[in-house]
Amino acid sequence: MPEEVSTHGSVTVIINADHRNGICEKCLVKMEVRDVPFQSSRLKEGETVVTEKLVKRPVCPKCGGMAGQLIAKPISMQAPNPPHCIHFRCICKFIMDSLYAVHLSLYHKRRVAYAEKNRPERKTIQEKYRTGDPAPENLWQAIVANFKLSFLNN
Amino acid sequence: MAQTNTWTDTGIAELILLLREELATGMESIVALEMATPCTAAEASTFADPADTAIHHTDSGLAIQAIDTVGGDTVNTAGDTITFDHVFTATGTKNVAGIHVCNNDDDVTFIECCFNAVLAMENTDTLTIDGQSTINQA
Repeated sequence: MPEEVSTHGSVTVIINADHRNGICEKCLVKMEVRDVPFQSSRLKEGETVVTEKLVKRPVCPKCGGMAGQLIAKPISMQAPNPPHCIHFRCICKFIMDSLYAVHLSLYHKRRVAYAEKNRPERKTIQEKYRTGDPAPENLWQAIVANFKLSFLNN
Repeated sequence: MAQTNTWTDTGIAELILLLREELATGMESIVALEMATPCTAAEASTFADPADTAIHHTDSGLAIQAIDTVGGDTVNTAGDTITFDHVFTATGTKNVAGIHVCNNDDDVTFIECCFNAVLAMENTDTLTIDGQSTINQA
């Protein structure tokens, strides 16, 4: 029996989102929703087909920018890799990685909820809770960060 | 619960129909999901019956619409990834718990995504989606 085993292939999905308000992040002016020309593209038979269309976007009347202030960024997390060997260190690493993933996902859930409750036009909060960066880098940091957020959310 | 993303069973069936050159359409539409509490993406979800008690938004800029950009990319082997980007602009106050990525006939959901927490959208808010799916042989 080989010491290392390979795992099955899979279909992975990563979706990152970005929720912004209608206040220009540069000028802090209320933006107006306008029809803006946009080039929609599709990959068809190996070539990119571009279609012109009008889309509704908030536009800053002062600078013409289309980016509002960031409210929150929910992010995708990947599950820890399964153990590749039956050595004690491999199993321990998998257990620690799983515990870290659980606490990190709870951290992102709490920070997005906290950021959504405190929109930038109403309250200033630490930027890391809106962006998710920097995120806790180990299990201990994740536990401490969750402890702080549980107080902030109450 | 963490943010959950999954291909649905009906989405895989539609993909297989495409491979068999039978009646099916590709990834073309996107719609936001409405629910007051966070949902959990499930493989058994369908276009008509999204995760938990979520329903499709039908107005306020969050209803089903053509995806802005659909493209290809490479993660492990050449051309193994589909990418999709879209911006929703809300025209009212609505909760968004997740999204469905659908086919061109707007009757099959390929991918269901439920966010970490419910996003409280207000008028002129934008929600930018940046997604990718990879068939991984590693």
